Amino acid sequence: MKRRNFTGLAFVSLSLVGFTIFFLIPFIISIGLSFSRTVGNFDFVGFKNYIDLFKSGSFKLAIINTVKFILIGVPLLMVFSLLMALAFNYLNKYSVSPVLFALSLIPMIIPSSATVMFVKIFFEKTGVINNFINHLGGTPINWLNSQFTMYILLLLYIWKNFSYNMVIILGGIKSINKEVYEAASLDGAYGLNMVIYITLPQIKSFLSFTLLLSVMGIFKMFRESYLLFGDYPHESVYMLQNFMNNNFYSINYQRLSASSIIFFILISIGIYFLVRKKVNLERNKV
Amino acid sequence: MKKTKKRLTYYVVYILICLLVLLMILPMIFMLCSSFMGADEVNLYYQGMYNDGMSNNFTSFHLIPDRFTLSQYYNTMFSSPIFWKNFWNTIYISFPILIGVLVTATLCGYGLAKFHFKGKRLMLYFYLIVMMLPYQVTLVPNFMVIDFFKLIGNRSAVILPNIFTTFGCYLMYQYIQKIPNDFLEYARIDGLSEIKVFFYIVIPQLKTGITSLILLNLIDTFGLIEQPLVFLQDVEKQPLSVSMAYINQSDITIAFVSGVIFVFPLILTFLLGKDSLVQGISDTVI
Repeated sequence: MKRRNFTGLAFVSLSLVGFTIFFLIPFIISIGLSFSRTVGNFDFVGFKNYIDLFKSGSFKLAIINTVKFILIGVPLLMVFSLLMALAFNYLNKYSVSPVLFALSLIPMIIPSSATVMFVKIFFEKTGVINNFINHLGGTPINWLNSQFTMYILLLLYIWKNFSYNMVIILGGIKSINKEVYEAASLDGAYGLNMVIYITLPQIKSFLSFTLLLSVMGIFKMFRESYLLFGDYPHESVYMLQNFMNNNFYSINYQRLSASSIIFFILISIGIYFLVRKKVNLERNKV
Repeated sequence: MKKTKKRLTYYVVYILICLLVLLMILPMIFMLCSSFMGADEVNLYYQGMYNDGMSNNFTSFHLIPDRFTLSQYYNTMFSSPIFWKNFWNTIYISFPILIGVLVTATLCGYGLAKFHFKGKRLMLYFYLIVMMLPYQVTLVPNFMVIDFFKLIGNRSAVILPNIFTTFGCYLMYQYIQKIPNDFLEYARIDGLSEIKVFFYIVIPQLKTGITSLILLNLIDTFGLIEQPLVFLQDVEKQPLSVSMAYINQSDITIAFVSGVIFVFPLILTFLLGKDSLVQGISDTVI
């Protein structure tokens, strides 16, 4: 048993060393930093940084916008991915359309800089869409710096993330036992009923993972947001990531560390609940 | 009656999905078509991009070039000094990361999947959380470490932290768990040392896993934006993902070809490994 322990550790050691150097140790330093007043010398001020954080107007704006984004964007994305997955599952039953499926995976691959170029061409104040509106006689809308900006970002969010979710949900649908469908059809279920009452409950675990990924995807939208809007976007899309980034560039490391710690704790709680079931299953297996 | 209704539903869904997929890949098509326009044509139709929304010159929707020409390719590839330097930077960053991740992730995944040691559950839990964190949270810890090693401004500042990302370890962990323990036991009984077991038994079984890891990693590293922006101030050292975002302002006549050449390696690897990619995504479900 002892030899086994050592071998396992040996294999993991490379990754563990790198992880410790680049993530763990600096993270612990960051925790310490969030409790100090200055960056150079450690000057313990207790929870002052955290309290300042919650008093800060930009932090509150960032949190409100992020929560708004999550509450609107995640359900939209989930529904869209689910519909696309169900549609592809339906199409696959009658004919094989691998080309169509492969094409629908492309949004996942294209890096942010390329999509940003495209968005600028279409949605600038003098872009293609506004050209169309102008021809129809209306006034051009300032898509990238007004209340419509949030919808543009939401559109980008759904466009970028639905492929990944769709693949996961499709994998889940394919893993459902055929006998469940047969038993249900014996009981008289068909078509839409079948989908709602049989398919969806069976893929609950996949849907919860997709939910987690979708929420994480919201935070990753920072790339597009930064490339399109710069450091200070319109106030309706100023999110948590923008707040952290601006603090970074204004060398306000304490506030940044404090917000990072809060973030970390929230995610830990979320992941804990997600993984708890699976870890219990594994414990029973071992 | 029922048969025609079924057929109708099928065609409706099929056409709907076709239209949606077309919308999804519209940026790609646009970029490709525009890359075949000459510089004067781009200037003619993309007036809107130059005026910052001040005047009334709009960008028109111009998909098919008036004059099919390769001059833009020629301009970008042979007359633009900075393009190839940035492209080389992207390769210089992505390739070492890829190799580093392959080595670290397979070793770590094997150790996590097939051995038990103290702290394994804690390690898995931490790796999962760090995997889910967006870049902003780990940026300050990373910055501190890179500063400590005096690597700011060096491209290794971007390479090293990305080698030790935990996503690869987790992907390999999922894959290696599927390998039956018996294979390893037989090999050990036959007298193979642990390292030989790893190389001759585990790795050959991981073809799908390794392909999907390569693809997902390439997608990630080609799209890095936050880290190069922070760690590499020098324009000469920045990868294409960052510089492409600013080509719009500087010179839009080469923007389209830059986009096409930038995305081309990704599309190529995607076409080669899309089945493994789909498999890899479905297998990383928690």
